[in-house]
Amino acid sequence: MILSVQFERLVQVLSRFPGIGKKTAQRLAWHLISSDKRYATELAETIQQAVDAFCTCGKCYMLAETDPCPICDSAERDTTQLCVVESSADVFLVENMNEFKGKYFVLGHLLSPIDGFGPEQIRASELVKLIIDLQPQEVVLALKPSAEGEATIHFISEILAGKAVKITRLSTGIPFGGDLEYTSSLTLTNAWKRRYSVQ
Amino acid sequence: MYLKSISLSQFRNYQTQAFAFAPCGSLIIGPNGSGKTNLLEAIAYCGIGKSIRLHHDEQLLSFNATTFSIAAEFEQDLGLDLSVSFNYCNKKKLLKLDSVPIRHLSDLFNSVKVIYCAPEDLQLINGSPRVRRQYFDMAISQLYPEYISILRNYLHIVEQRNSLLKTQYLASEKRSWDLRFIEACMEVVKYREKYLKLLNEYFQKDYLHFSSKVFNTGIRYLSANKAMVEHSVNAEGYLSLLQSLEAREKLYQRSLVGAHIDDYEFVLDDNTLRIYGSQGQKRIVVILLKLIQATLVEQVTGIKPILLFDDIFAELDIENTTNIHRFIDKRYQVLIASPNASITEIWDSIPTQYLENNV
Repeated sequence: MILSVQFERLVQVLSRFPGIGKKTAQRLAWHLISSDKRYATELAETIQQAVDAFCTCGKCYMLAETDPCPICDSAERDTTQLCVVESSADVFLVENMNEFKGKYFVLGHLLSPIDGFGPEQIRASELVKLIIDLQPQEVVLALKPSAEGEATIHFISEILAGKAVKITRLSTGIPFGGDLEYTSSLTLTNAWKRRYSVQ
Repeated sequence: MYLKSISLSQFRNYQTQAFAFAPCGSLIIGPNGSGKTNLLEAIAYCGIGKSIRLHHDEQLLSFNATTFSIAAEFEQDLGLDLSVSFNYCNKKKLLKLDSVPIRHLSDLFNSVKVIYCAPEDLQLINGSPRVRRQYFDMAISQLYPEYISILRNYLHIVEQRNSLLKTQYLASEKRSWDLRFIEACMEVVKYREKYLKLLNEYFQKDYLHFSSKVFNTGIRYLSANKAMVEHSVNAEGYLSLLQSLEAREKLYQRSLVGAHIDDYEFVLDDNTLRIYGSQGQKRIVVILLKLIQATLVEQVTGIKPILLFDDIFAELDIENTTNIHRFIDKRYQVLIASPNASITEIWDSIPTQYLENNV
């Protein structure tokens, strides 16, 4: 029996979060309505402000507070390297590594005909345009090694064929600190194929 | 390995029932409808995590029941115990190995090896290609559990490619999926051919002295892409094949070649067994296939499988039955279900259990 329509609506909205099921959504909803009202108001305002503040960068398609985003706008970033990622969240991951000082491009999706994601959805022509403008020496495809990731990697390398740019991808294999014992045979096979000599 | 005991709850015609078995096995004798096949199905379930007779899980429930459970105790070849349990409740299945919940079926495939033989195995020869693919895919996973994820990855790519064929696409986009498809397909076919090679070696070995009637039997891999089978792996050739098929694939909106529609053909002296073989020859060949499967499981994984024979001796002559008996001869645990008590004469070294009507 539904006791409160408002409550159910709140649960429904909360369960749209990735990784949040109905149970967790209910817990969060109870937490919100049972806490001090100022907390919920503050949360709502913070969400509103953050969402309003963000826009998509017209160059790299990263979600940022400014357009162009700080990375595209920065003169300090190395324009000889371009890193292609699936989502804005991946930009944060690569940035945290403190290794890469080049520019980014966010695809938004990977190729996946089942979900209706083709070249248009992954902004293929925008990527080509950026590469023509930027003239980088290397394009790093930092995409996950799934069927969709692999197809996307191949597709991008094909549309960039003939352009004077080196195309690289992240290596696949045993994770650092990983255990051979817990490595799937597919990963092990991949790591085996791409083994390198010890220098 | 061998099955020490199994208890069933609300599984098909069993409300709650427990069975214990000797290391050499058991003859399960009972009238029609007493639950012999259901018992063997439950044991086979422990090896493959689903119904070997292709029932859906909800079809395994007793009448009016909403949950069923199977709990089995095995002893492994080195003397270690292994317990396997399944609980099916609210359309969800919980599998535990040694009381630890397991998410991947490949863990089960790694440890429990069961081979099921029944009269409907004739479908492997007479039935549709899908029956053969299902059987061989399962048999290969028993030897190489990693094959499950390789096959699943391939089928996912087929699904992606089929979706692509339903849309307007760029040539480069299709080529990207084609290459994924070819790579995954070749991996699957590699495992299938490796398995067939092992099988055919045994078929040609006059194995079990069966072969006077089925001499020169073999299994061929039939692929719509003949070039790949004949010249082994060649991605280039495959790519041009896909290009030549493009118009038809767009029309049908699905992948028209690949491991998902390949087939296996049983041949006897270079003739198709399905067409030219007698009923008896077909029967012997499928039993031989299962016995070789058992040998391969032992040879490749080092685990002795458990053999389940569901009433297969009714149609066999004494000579063949004796051959099978001689082959198994306490090598593997064997559980034989039959409505006919006379088989106890040949299998006199194995204890008998009688099932009552409608347990």
